[in-house]
Amino acid sequence: MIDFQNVRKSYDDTKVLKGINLNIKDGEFAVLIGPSGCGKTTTLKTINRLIEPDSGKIYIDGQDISTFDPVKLRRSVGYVIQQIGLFPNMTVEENIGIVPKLLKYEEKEIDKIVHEMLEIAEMDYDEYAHKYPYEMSGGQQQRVGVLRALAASPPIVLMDEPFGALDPVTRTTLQNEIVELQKKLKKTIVFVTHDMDEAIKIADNIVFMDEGEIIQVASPEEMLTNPKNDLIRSFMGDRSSDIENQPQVVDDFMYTNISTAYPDYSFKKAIGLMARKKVDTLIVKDRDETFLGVVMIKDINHKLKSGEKSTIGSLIRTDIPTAYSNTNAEESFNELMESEYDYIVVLRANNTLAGIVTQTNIAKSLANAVWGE
Amino acid sequence: MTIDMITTHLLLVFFSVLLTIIFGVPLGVVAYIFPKARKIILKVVEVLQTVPALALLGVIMVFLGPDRATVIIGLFAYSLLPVVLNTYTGLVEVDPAVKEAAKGIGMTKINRLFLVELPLALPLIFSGVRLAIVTSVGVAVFGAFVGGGGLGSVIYESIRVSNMKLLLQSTAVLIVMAVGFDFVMSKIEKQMNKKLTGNSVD
Ligand SMILES: Nc1ncnc2c1ncn2[C@@H]1O[C@H](COP(=O)(O)OP(=O)(O)OP(=O)(O)O)[C@@H](O)[C@H]1O
Ligand SMILES: [Mg+2]
Repeated sequence: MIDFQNVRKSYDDTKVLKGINLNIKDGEFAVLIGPSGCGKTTTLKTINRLIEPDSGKIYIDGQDISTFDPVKLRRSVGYVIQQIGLFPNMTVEENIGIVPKLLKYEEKEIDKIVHEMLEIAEMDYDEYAHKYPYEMSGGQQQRVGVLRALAASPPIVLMDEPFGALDPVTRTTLQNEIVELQKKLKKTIVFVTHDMDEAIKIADNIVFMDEGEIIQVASPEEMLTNPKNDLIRSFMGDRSSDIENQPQVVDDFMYTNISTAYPDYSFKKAIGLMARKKVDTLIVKDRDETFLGVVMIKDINHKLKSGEKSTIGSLIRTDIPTAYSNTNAEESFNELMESEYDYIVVLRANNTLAGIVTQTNIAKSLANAVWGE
Repeated sequence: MTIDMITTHLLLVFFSVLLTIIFGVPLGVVAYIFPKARKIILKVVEVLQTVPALALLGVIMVFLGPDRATVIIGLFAYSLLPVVLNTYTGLVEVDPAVKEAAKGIGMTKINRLFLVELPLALPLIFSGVRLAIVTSVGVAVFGAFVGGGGLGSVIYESIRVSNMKLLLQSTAVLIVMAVGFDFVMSKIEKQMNKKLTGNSVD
């Protein structure tokens, strides 16, 4: 738990923090937001003592952090910044392993951690471990930046506009990843942004600041429905009306005439079906319509070559992206663009199959939007 | 002109530049870390270089006598500026985001210096050493006047007896030395930059 008690900070005559009181619980995803210069970064940096308050106290798990050795404190709190700040003289592996190395972990242990970390981000060790930062895209660099912050398993991670400099598609992907990660690893995350979409998407609680003060702390829904003042209302834009005016969902783009199969189909039967329908994948479902996964023709051919005869049940791939029919369309599209498959499977709330959204669907809808139906 | 003289010349340059590195890099680091020492250090090395080389050697000779040590120390003092300045500049110019990250993840000042800042400043420091070497090759010629030997004595001698051929030969050797060092070290410097940033220009 992080507890701010009346934290103040001034530069010369300018009061930058005017008595911050804030409580962030273990495992909470807290997002600081507010106009430029309102003190978000300053607040964040007081947590790892890159900035020392003039007065007031900050407690982590009940202990006053001003009594800690700042270097030790920082090694136990992850830190990610907008400019990424990977060390250009170190490989990805060395960047990720740096905090464990500072903490004098054994070589073997560090090696294990680096492997684990890359796995979390689904980055192939052999492909990435020995790359230098300049050899990667901004999105990949920031993934490594996040992994570097997580490597020594800090319970708290501070992130200052970590995705602010990335292109929108990469940003969406990384937002999804960080939300997943937080669910899995149960970190306490303090995240600064000035993008309300981002805050609404990822926050458990949004902390709205203005001119060095906290104006409102609330869940995204609460802040949408009950913004405390006009400034917050204007930050929310016309999203409040979005609640009635639902944004487009994948349902609107879905393609329902799809080729399906049951897991007990023989290889031969499945291939015959694929040939007739001119497709290279089949969507596999249970008798009760529950979605199971997909089978690909190359997997079947592979097995046939080795002379195996069996049912397609053993070849089901479950890593295809899925979305529920009421998922925001934009989000699913971004996921689809990043995916190696060329479609997304759309499910109903009870996990039964509803349809698919293909890249062609998207292209068509975009064309319609641009040139009319 | 003998091989011996060329070797002597190279040794004079070698030992003086070795001293320059041994003292110059730490001085640059001190200038970077301690703002109070910065002005003094940078001023002193700058003044050292503005003193005419011959005068500097003369002054040192008063204390040490005409000797190779005099030449080496003179060259050392004369070539400090590029190494100190480049070390200092290289450290100052490390990307602030990288410095902030280094501090934020829990590196001590010493950690930051040795794990991040010096490695990143290395190409620029190397460039300073290159300048020091190239300058020293030329300035070492004056060593002949204070008992240093080397190619300076050949040039001095050939002027004295008006031996044009010898004068040209020894000058050519000097030029080849300077240009050669410059060429090879520039190549290495480019490689260093490439390893850090992916481009060789900078
Ligand atoms: N070192 C400093 N010296 C003087 N003023 C400073 C210093 N650091 C920050 N400030 C001022 O403090 C205020 C708050 O800065 P802070 O960086 O916390 O804002 P922020 O909310 O993170 O803004 P942004 O969204 O632009 O990042 C700003 O007005 C800034 O100009
Ligand atoms: Mg900021």
